[in-house]
Amino acid sequence: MTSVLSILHRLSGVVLSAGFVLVLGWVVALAYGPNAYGYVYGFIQTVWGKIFLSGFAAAFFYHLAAGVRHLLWDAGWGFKLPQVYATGTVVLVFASLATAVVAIRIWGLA
Amino acid sequence: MNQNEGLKSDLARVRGLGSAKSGTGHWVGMHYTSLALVPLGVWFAFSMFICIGTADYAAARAWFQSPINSALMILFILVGAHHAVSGLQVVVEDYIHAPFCKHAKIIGTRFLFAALAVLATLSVLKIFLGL
Repeated sequence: MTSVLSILHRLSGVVLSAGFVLVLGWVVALAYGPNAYGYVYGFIQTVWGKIFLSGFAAAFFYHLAAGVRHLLWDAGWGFKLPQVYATGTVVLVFASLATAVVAIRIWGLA
Repeated sequence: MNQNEGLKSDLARVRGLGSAKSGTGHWVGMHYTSLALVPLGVWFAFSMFICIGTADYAAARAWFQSPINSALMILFILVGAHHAVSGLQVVVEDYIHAPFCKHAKIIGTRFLFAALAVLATLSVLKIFLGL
């Protein structure tokens, strides 16, 4: 579990870098005018757009929780093996729940 | 130590083998930006996924009219770009070993993110000022 969580942190970070570039593109399109924004807005409304948003949400919440775990390690806390497994589980549960809440919102189920 | 290097000076022997003495600055930069991104990221995710991610043109522009939203967005853009560049640098350093390719990718990423961050910051200001 520890190695999978570690590589997931890196993978989600790379995914979020790409997502960050897309967000910047979204802001630039919004500043450019209604036509440019229309393309972005139109794509977000499609199934693919919603899949992208949900994927970025999953990457974001995982990276956020795993990042806080890294900050705790940097502060010298959480290196005992039971703690490593416990915090890893907390990270996975938090990321799953937060992603589920946002996905429900994105897909308009509630 | 390689015995065939007997004629080299001590400096020539160790050059390129050890720390470049720049790792601490990178670690501190990552540390500070990630600390800042915890609240900034939560704020951004909430705004993006709940409020404006699916907002139409008028609603999205209205959201940026708030000085708090615009200020936090610019902060998020700058801190996020720094964090992304530093993070990608580690990935490139770990997986790409050809010196030219490695440095080209690191410098290219820096230039790209710097240009995009400036462009996006100007865009936020443009919307905020109602231009």
